[in-house]
Amino acid sequence: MTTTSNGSNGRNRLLAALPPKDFSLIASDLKDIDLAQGVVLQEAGEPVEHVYFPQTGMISLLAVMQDGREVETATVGREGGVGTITGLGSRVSPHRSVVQIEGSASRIPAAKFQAAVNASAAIRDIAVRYSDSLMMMVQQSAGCNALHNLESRLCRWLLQTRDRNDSNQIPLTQEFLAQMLGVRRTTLTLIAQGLQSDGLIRYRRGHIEIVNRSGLEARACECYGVIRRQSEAVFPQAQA
Amino acid sequence: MPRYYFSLTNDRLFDDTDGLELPDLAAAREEASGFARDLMRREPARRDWRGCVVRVTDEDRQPLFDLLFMDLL
Repeated sequence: MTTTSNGSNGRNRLLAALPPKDFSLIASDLKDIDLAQGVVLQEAGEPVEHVYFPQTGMISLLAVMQDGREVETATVGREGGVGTITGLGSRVSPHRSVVQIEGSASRIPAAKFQAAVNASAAIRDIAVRYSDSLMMMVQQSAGCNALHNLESRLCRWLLQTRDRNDSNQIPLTQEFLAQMLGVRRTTLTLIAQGLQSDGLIRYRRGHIEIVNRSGLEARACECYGVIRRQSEAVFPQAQA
Repeated sequence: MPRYYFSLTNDRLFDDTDGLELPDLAAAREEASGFARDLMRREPARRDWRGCVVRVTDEDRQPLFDLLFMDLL
């Protein structure tokens, strides 16, 4: 582990959006860590100890049922953070946070982040805006999971993962994707095979590649565009 | 574990080229009915599934059993 040097905020867009003097309040408390696939960063209902700002990779936020089944409610990549809500006073995590695609993150103790939110209007502002966008993402996902067909949901998910991880290569197994969509492995194979024969994706064991992004967009549900716009709304300067 | 293939024979709708490793025939029956239920419930607009059949074959693609979507209704 190495400490992020003062003034360098890496690829994470929330950190990059902070003015230098505000970033300097947290720079010495940020540590770069590796995110290994499958690691649970936060458990639902338990205290949040650290806030994570991904630089690469992707994290899933999951709702967990009593019988152990889980469903994804949002994903976080370098455009966001995990546990940022603690900066606004929350103490416990509302979801399980799991590393889905390995990468790296800058991590800060939750208490230090909270102190920075209290000390800096810019940090507070970005924490509030990101929490709002996360709430809207979760809202949209709830509607999508209940109402949209499998193919359009898979297309949405692949495109969203592409945006989060900045890559057309998606290193995830079909077992995992089937679980995320809440369907049988064979059902996932049928949907993926259809997208592959239409030239939109290529898949093999443990790996999916997006071949035709605009074609995939045409087959995705409206949720892809809605969530993308919500994610971008956190960064008003970037939209201008 | 043996590998099972789950294809939809009607109009050559779906030829399962991937297959799935499962512990036994009972698990294959469960996969077949879960697969049919997924399609009827989550892809209702794709087609009228009621007349469809899941044909389950073994590693040599020899038929083991057919499952009628209709039987799940």
